[in-house]
Amino acid sequence: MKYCGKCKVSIRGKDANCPLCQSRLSGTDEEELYPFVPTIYRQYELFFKLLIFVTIMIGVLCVAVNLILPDSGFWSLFVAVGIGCFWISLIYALQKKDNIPNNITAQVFILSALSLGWDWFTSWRGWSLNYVIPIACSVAMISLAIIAKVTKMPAEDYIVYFIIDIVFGIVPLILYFTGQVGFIIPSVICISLSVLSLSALILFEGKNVLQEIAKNFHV
Amino acid sequence: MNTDHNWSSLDNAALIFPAAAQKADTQVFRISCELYEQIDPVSLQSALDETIQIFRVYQSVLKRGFFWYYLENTNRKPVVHEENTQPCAALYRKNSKNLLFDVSYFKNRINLEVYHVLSDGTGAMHFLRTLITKYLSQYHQIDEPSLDFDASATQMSDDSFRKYYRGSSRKKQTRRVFACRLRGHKYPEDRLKIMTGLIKIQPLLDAAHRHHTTLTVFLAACLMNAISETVPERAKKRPIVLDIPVNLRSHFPSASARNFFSVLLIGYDYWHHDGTFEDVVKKISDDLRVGLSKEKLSQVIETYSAVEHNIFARITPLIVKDPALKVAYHYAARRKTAGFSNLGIVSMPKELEAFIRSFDICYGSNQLQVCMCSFQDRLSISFSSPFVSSEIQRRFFRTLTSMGAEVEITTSPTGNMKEGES
Ligand SMILES: [Zn+2]
Repeated sequence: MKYCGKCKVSIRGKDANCPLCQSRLSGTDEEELYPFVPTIYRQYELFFKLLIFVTIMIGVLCVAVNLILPDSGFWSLFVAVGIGCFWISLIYALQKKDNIPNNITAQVFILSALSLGWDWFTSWRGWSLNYVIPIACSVAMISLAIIAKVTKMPAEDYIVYFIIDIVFGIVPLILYFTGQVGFIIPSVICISLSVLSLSALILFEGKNVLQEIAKNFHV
Repeated sequence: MNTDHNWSSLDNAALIFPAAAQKADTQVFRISCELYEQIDPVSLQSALDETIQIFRVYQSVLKRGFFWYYLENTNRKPVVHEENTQPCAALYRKNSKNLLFDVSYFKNRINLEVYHVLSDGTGAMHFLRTLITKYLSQYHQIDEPSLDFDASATQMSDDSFRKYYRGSSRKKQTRRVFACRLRGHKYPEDRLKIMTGLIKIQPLLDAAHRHHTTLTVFLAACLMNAISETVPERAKKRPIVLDIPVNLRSHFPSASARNFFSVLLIGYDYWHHDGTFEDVVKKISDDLRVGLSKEKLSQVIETYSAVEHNIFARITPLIVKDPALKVAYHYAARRKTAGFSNLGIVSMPKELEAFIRSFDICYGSNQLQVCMCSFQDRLSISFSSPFVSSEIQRRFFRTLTSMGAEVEITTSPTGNMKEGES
């Protein structure tokens, strides 16, 4: 045990200075009483710095090449926007890393919004509505189903799927009926998937879903 | 409202917590028990498995409903592990379904960390005492002694606020002024510094009796004076206010292992009064006497419960309620300078006492928080603080040593500087 003559207190642990008055302690070291916990930033510091640096490097390189070859158009702008999209997506994924279904849904929304925006600013060819959104929704629905089976997700999580499946079905459906969709095959597949998974959910997990709704909406 | 299914709504004291939880204010408290020998993880795990069978209410996760948060029973089993986080680190993370308590060990120490939504200090202390009793009797192969409380699972999962709510019209609360707030450099990454003093209780009791008061009042007065000597003169235009939780179980019979507490705000205005020790002691003990009267405490229960029984509050979606509760929480936080709570005497079965060195408790908030409890002839006082400066702690402990108390201090590392760095 150590001792501070000024404060007249005994100090446990390995501190060289008094935690109260910072003066030198007398006495012998003891065993540590708490584990040393590194800060989170320190653990992943290098990885994130490298990642940030690599994306900056790609961006700078593209802009530089673009400036040297001005006749090739403003393509470096798209690279820059693409990098921005990548970071938005990554930051979100890290924040929601504990909940995979939630993360997948969010990524679909981010991807849809970004592709819509991109399509809009590049003289609207409709590829976002024709391909990106229905394909993203379909992939998300299939992967959710697989994840649920593989990870044996508890029944209480089914409400998430319930809502996701409805949304993923309705959006392409609305787009389809309002005639926004030129090339219909991906949308039709997506709507069918939605109907199928919804009916499977109601048939096989209906009771759990009802219970989930009761819990969620208690006043 | 509903406890017969596999879920239950939060008790009234807990309603506000999830809305306002954040990294700097984790609302997690830690009760530790230090033994005289190394902890054996295998025995600890088996003791925990038995304990959770009694405290079924602890085996739940917190979820967001459309109108309210609620606790849902889960099959997830608690697993003991070596301590690997900061004390009082966040337990509840949005979107993840983890348990709201955690049992860890480090060398001779067993830690129980509990998110305040689940239970208050008294409830959690029952849990820890049961766990330690089972652990020690298993490890040393002694017949398990019985603890001094018994309650059915229903009694323990009871929401006692609901039990004692009468729905009578409540008096308008007196408006509270903002309190003097502590400021200063904080540790990075919202780390807390936990400083625990283990003190022989007798010299303190003698000192308290010399001032004709109780130990709690005496120590609260010491803390208040330590704060008053530390903060700048100008800041004392506002009163220094201690937030003192009251265990309602000792006033209204209840065996609930969930939350059943209320808080008293005890302030002293150093700007208009002379601040002599005698005067501070007198003010605190007078305020406590009034605040602890049965009538006042019943009023508090009515006020707490009124929110939940208010039809408008009930039908407002959580997404709207969340920010409103957050504002209310921060507004309430501005009315206190520091927290001060005394969990009282921790008793353990006689045959196990020889194995136990001490108990201590600390709470993770973004303000200075002092928690204490006593075991055998020693009192442990823990300061948890986000501030780098430990002026208040120094003044407080020096006051005690100047009265002849022997103090033994343990400090948690704060990560930004290794030991020996100055
Ligand atoms: Zn010192």
